This record gives sequence, C-alpha cells and structure tokens, in this order.
Amino acid sequence: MPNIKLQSSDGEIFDTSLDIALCSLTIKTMIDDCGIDEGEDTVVPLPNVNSTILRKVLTWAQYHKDDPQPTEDDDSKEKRTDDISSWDADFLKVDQGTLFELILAANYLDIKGLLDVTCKTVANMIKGKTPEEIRKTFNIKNDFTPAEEEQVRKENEWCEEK
Amino acid sequence: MTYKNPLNDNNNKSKALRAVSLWKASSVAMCSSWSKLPSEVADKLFTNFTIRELKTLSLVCHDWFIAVDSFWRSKIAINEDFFKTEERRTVLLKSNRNYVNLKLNHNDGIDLEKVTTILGAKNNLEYLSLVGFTVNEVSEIIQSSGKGKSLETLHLSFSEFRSHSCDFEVPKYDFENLSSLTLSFYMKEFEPIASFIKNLETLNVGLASKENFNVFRSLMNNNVNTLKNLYILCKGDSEMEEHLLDLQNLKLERFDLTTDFEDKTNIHRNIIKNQKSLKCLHLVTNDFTEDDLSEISLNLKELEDLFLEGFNKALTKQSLRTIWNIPTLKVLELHGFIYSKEDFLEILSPKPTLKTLIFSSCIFDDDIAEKLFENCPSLEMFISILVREKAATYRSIQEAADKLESLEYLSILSDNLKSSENLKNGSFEIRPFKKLKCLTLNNSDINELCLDEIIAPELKILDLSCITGLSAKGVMTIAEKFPTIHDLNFFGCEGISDLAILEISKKLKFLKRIILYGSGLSLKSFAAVVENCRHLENADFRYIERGSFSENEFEDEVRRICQLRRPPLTLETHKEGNSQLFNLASDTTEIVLSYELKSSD
Repeated sequence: MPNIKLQSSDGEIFDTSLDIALCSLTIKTMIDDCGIDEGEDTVVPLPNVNSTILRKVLTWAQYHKDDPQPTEDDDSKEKRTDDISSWDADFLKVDQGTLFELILAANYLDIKGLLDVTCKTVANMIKGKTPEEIRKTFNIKNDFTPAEEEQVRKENEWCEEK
Repeated sequence: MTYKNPLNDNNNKSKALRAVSLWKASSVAMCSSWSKLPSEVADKLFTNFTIRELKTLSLVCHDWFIAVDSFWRSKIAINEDFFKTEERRTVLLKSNRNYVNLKLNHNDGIDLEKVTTILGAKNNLEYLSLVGFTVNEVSEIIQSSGKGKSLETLHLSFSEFRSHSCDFEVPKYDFENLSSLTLSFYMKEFEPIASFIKNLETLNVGLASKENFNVFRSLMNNNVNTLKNLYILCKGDSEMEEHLLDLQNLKLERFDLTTDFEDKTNIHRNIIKNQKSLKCLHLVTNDFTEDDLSEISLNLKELEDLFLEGFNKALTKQSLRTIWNIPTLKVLELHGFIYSKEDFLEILSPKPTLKTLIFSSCIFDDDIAEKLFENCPSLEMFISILVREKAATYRSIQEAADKLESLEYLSILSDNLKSSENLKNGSFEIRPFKKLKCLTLNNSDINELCLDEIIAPELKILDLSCITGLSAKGVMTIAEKFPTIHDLNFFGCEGISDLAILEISKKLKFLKRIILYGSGLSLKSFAAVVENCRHLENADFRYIERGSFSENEFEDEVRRICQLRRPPLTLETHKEGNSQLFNLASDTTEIVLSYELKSSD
C-alpha cells in the first residue's frame, strides 16, 4: 500500500499508509472524486481536525484497520453500550473536551466504528444522571425558563414507555 | 467507485481537495459545545438510549430538546398528537426515518398529498390508524405505503359525513402481513379493498348498519382459516343475527360480543356452541336464557377466561353451576346477577384452577367468603364491587389471609368491616397475608382496630378512599405496620390529621404516590410529605384547608416549602373553577395542590 499525506488544521503533515487513511469515508470520497493516482505527492487538507486529534484518530484507525466494515442501517436494532472493547475503553480514557473533538472528527471524517464507540462512551457518561448532572458533566448551560421546563415535561408525557 | 474529475492537473487537484474539504468542514464548524452536536451525531448518540432516558436528555437544554424531539418522534413512533401542530408536521416532512407506527386523524387537518409523499419513500409501516378519511383517501394512503405490504395492524374509522364515492379503479393491495384489522366505522365502499385481506388473525368490527354486511361477510369468508380472535359490537335488531351465521365456520380462540338486541336470538346455538376451542369468551348481551348459558358452558371444555355482563335473567343457580364446573376456568368476571345466599353456597364446589374472580351485584358475606376461599385456594385476585348487602365483616378478610396463599389483590366492600369480637377476647389468632400486594377497602366501614389486625408484609398499595371513619390513629397504625407501602389513597378520608400524615411521611420510606384529595388537611401535611418522602413521584393535595393564611401568604408558604426539597420544586399557579390550583414539579416529582376560593357574593 502506498502512503498518503494528511494535513491537520494546524499545518502538521501526517505521512500515513493509504489503507489506514481509507478508514475515513470522507478521505476516500475526496481521493476518488479528485482522481488521485498512486505515487502522486498530493497533500489532503483536513482543516477541521487538529494534529492532536488527528494523531489519536490515526492511532485508532491503525489498530482497527483489519476490522470488518460495519454494516449500514443497523440503527433499528436494540443498542448495547456495555460492549466496548477494553482497548477502545483505554483509548477513550480522555478528558471530555478531547472526547468531544474525537466525536466531531469521527463524524467529519465519516469513520463509523469510531463514531459508534465514542457515542457509546458518551451515552455511558449520561445514563442514570439527572438533567442537572448531565449539564454539569458536559458544561452545558440550562437555558430553559422554569415555565419552559414544565412545558417540556408535559410534552414528554404523551410518549410513555411501553 | 472512482471517476476522473475533469480538473486533472496537480494544481487544480489540490484546489479541488481543499474545496471539498472546506465545504464539508463548514457544516460542522459551528459546533463548539456539547449542546450544539451536529444532528447526525446527535441521532447516532440517541440510538443508545431508552425513551425514558431520552426524556431526561430533552430537559438538559433547548438544543438537546429540539434534537431529541426530532429524533424520537420520527424514529420511534408517531402519535396522532404529532400532527396537531404545523410545526410538528414539518418535522415529520423533513425527517425520513424508520418510524413504523402512524396514526392520522382527518380532523387534525392532514395534508394528504404531503403524507403520501412521505409514505412513498418508505415501505416499512407496521401499524396504521386512519380516522375520519374517505374510502378513496384510505386507499391512496395504503397504496403510497408500499401497497400495504409491511402492514401488520390496520385501524380504520371512516368519516360518516363525507362522501365515499366508489367510482375509482381499485388498485392492487398486498396485505400478506396484515394480521389485525379494526373497523370501528366503515362503509360498503370499502369492500373492494377488504377483498384483498386474506391472513387475518384478529378482527374487531362494529356492525351497525345492514349496508356493511357485505364487507363483514367478505372478511369472514376470506379469512376463515386464519381468524382466531373476533371482537364484534352489534347494534340494531336481531335480523342482523342471520349475518353472523358465517361465524360458525370459524375456529376461534377468543370471542368478544356486545349486542343490544331486544329479541331473543340464536347466536349461542349457531355460533358459540360450535366454538369448541374457545379459550376466552366475553359477552355483553341480554338475550340469553338460563338454558342457553348452561348449554354453552357445557360445550366449552377449554375455556379459561369468561366475562358476562347483562345476563340478568340467565344467570341463575342452574347456569352458574355449569359455569362453575367448566374444568379449565382461570378467570371469571360476572356483572349483574342477583342471587340468594343459599343458592350461591350450594354452587360453590372446589375450583382449584381459578386465579381471578371479580363480581358485582351479588351477595357476599362471611359465610360465602369462608366457603369460596376454601374451594378456590389458587386465587390471586379477588374483587367484589357493588355488593348488594354490605354484609361481610372482618372475618372475611381473615378467611382470605388464612386460605389464599397466593392472593396478591384483595378488594372487599362492606359496611361491617369491624374488628372481630373474638379477637378482642384473645381467642382468635391473627393470620398473615403472605403475598398480598394490593388491598382495597374503599367505602367500607373500617376503623383502626381492624387495620391493626391485618398483617401483610408485602403490601405495596393500600386504597382506603372514602372511609370517613378512618381516624388519625388508624393512619399511624398503617405507618407502623406496612413500612413497604408505596401507594396510598386517602381520598375523602376526613378523619385523619396533619400529625398522622407527618408520621406517615417519616415512616414510609418507599412512598411514591399519595392521594389526600379532600381530606381536610393543611399545609403542614404538604410540608411533611415534600420534605420527608424522598422517593415521592406523585401527590394529590387538592382541596386543602387554607386556614388563617391570606391568599398571598398561602402562596408564599407553598413557595417556601418547595425550596425544602432537593432538587427544589418549580411552581405554577392558576385558577380553575372555584379553586386556586398549584402545580409543583421537579425531574422526578409532580404534586398538585389546591384550595377552594370563597365565592365573592
């Protein structure tokens, strides 16, 4: 496999194996659409990912490069959040700012496996918490007025759990 | 797939890469905080939660509320309420996800064209409910959702007032997965569509006009091999009966029939008698005779669940005896029969299969309780409502405790639930209920002595509504004796006091719901419950006494009490009728409170 150069938002160039870079469907589409031939010395700019995050993403992609391609449209299946592998769990022991950027990067780069596992990690951080605790964990401002909060609670009533 | 872009020299290639990359970046550039997750990330994240968890998420902030709202309303189910506002309709139109349930009511102002456009893009609808449409419109909607192929349940109630022309060419439908159909109001024009339905297991129909019978017969004939559950509401004269004759070809497991026929009919002979494999029979009708009922009961050898209402003339000693002797009976519910005590006692023979017994308008006293409970040792639920003479005493409760090891739900109505005389003399042993979870003694005459004699370590729900004789001492007894209770109903119990409620609030650690509507209490009770009951989910303090507080002082006091709770309760107040209403809420708790306004004249 040839190598490919990726440029992070802060200008760092990552010379990486093409099969690792192709984990990202966004990079794959860009290369396909622009018709890069092998051996060409083209740099792919990734203006939305900084070098710290890109390094993490490439580490993840290196470890998972032989994983089977995740199937599409399995969203309807019941989800489990307790099936995160120990490697991924260790890999995602990061501060919530990094986790947030990893999610955005996984989404931007369209890496389904990484988006899945980061979302599950966030879900596990949310489960069992009250709205106030969730706000604290993720540093979110409560922008509801008490009357609005009441309204939301009423709105929620129609959809009782079966 | 690779294709060559016309921009083929290296310079242009880099530009192109940069352009694609920047365009992609712009869509996420705004996301700088957790509250502003890109919608595709939010949707991905939300698939990891249950509906209940999603509700919590929607309370975090505006952005999450909007994200959760658009996610679940499209993903999980679409309720008819959904269509009541233009805003929500727009959300539906924008989303194109995997919702499988759809309810539409024409009166909500549905734009048919939009609906069919949305449905046209998907083929996985499993549940469809359409109310107030014409046959043509229903046809169009079903056609647009993949000709009905994925439908499992269809509920139709056509418009009574709009014209149902049948001059359209009937297209083909595919109802191979449709197993349940409900027609609550329908038209003869529906027949061409109905003729495509062939695999029904469950049919629920109203028969009110002779015009509809062709639809009904066509459904009967086309589904004769698959129909198992049939629910019929038949109104009109007994001439309709002949149309029910087709039913005798069916092999039903469940049959529900409600009629208002005045004349005598042959329904039992022609239909029910031949349904040898019926497991569940629910009848509301008054045209049966004693003999009819006996004959049916003798024939139904596999019946497990029987519900009878309106059999005033037919429920006699003879017919009840045959019912009682159905060998497989597990659930029996009888409404509206009159009986002499002696006859009832004579009928009661051992019935070890019976698990649920519910009756009204019957005689029930201690002698019946003794024999009944002895003969039905497997009872899990016993309910007597609207008893003719409220004759049972405390002994009936003890009989239940003594003989019914599996009893979980007991409801006895009586004016005589006084404490046992024997007990006072010390010659009577109190027996515990091993599994009792719910006890309902509303409208009875009960006092603290009687409560003192009930032992039920598993009791979770206690309903003592409208027991005016219940004293503060009785309530304290409850707090002492039933520490595991989580539901309490003291609706209209005027004899209890604030002090007793304070005691309850401290002792009942697991209390989740309490109803104190019209119990003549003051804000002291409210404060006690708010402060002490950590697990409280619902409380009803309507018609509380305002006491010497002015209206403003009262509201201030309520606000102060709200702050006693962590997290504090939010307060909303408004007038409703002749009372001042307060709605209090936090994430987990909802309390309603009101006092009566003095009339101004």
